[in-house]
Amino acid sequence: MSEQDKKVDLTKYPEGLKELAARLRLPIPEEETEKREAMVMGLIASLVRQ
Amino acid sequence: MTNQELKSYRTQLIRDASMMQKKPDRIPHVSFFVTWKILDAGYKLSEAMNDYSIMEKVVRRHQEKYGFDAIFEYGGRNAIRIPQAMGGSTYQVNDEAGTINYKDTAICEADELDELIADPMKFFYEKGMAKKYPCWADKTVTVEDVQRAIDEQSEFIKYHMNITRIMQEEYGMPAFTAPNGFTYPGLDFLFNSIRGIKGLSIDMRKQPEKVEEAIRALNKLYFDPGLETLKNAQEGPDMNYCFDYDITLLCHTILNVKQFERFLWPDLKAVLDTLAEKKKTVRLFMEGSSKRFWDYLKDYPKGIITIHPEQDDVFEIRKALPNCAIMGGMPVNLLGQGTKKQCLDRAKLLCDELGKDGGFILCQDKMVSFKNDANPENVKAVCDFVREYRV
Repeated sequence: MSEQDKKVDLTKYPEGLKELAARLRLPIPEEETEKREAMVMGLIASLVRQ
Repeated sequence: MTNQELKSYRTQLIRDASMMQKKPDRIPHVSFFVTWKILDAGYKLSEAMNDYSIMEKVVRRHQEKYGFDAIFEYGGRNAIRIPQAMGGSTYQVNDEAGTINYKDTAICEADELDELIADPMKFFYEKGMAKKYPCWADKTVTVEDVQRAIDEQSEFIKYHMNITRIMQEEYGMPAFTAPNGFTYPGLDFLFNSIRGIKGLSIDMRKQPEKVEEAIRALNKLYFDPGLETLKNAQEGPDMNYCFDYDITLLCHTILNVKQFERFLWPDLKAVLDTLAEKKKTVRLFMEGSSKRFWDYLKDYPKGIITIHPEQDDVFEIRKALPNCAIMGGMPVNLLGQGTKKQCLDRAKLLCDELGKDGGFILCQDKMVSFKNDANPENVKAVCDFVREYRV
């Protein structure tokens, strides 16, 4: 785990989700926080369903 | 015919059959072949499922060889690369046997239902992910791990958009279902991913109120927004697509009539009522047998529901549900084990009996998955016959 990853527990909700949404390369502008979080949550829900 | 004309012709065939207002020019024939087409093309499952350029070749070949009027699946059913990117092992591909084993992991125990009900998103994020992905459970997951999954998801979407375009433009294939939202009933969600067959069966007997609460909580994620989208959709059918809606149901296989009425029917009814109000069509695929629930469908207007049964007798359905179009009728075990003559006799019987007044789409009764599910010669013979036969 990198030093940056240690700052926030990525597996905790909602802080991990917010961190991922802020740091992932997504096709959504950085300022559109809610949309970015929704995209990451969409992936999580899909990963859980699969 | 140009490919555009062919696409319109095929769409119209399926529309005429499903809407039951006009007998189609001929019986439409739909492919419900899934992983079988990979093996039929001579590839290993893992080769095609891990390489979208191979999957594209598989799908192209399937249409070039058999010439269906529509293909239900373009190689996207088991998107194994996305969970694999996170170290998930839900899908286990066995190339020697030509099978995919799906590890049925219940992500929620009976005593965790309250947590799920209180906040399903938090539950999925923290507990669901930990049950499915070791890096989540031991907290070693990194941003890069999740980035890989995001990138794989983008690749998958790109593949799907590309193959859909290719099949439409180069092969004249119609688009199957219009984008009118996704209503995933909470009970099916509980059954498929959250509690599993055994857990849900026990819950419905021991704590039915909790099941209802869980359904309501889960419905807020997919079902309610999906229904809202459908309610806001334009009235009338979208004739650019074969169907306006698609529902695949699995959880009813463990329900008796009383449980169906209590846990599933309210949601299913809400969707079917909306579709009827909007005069939109739906393909309703019901796995296993659905016979004990047919009464619930009998009062819908003619031409709204196209029922696609997995195990039930299609001739019996026609008598019991004259208001519903039928898709299916070709048993996979006949395609796999029968002679060419038996397959052709069955196809002719279906066309003559169920297609004589319209309202029938020929299709396989199950998703065709394994190599022995179908003999390619039988499939080719049926495809060639149906394309030329006029009732």
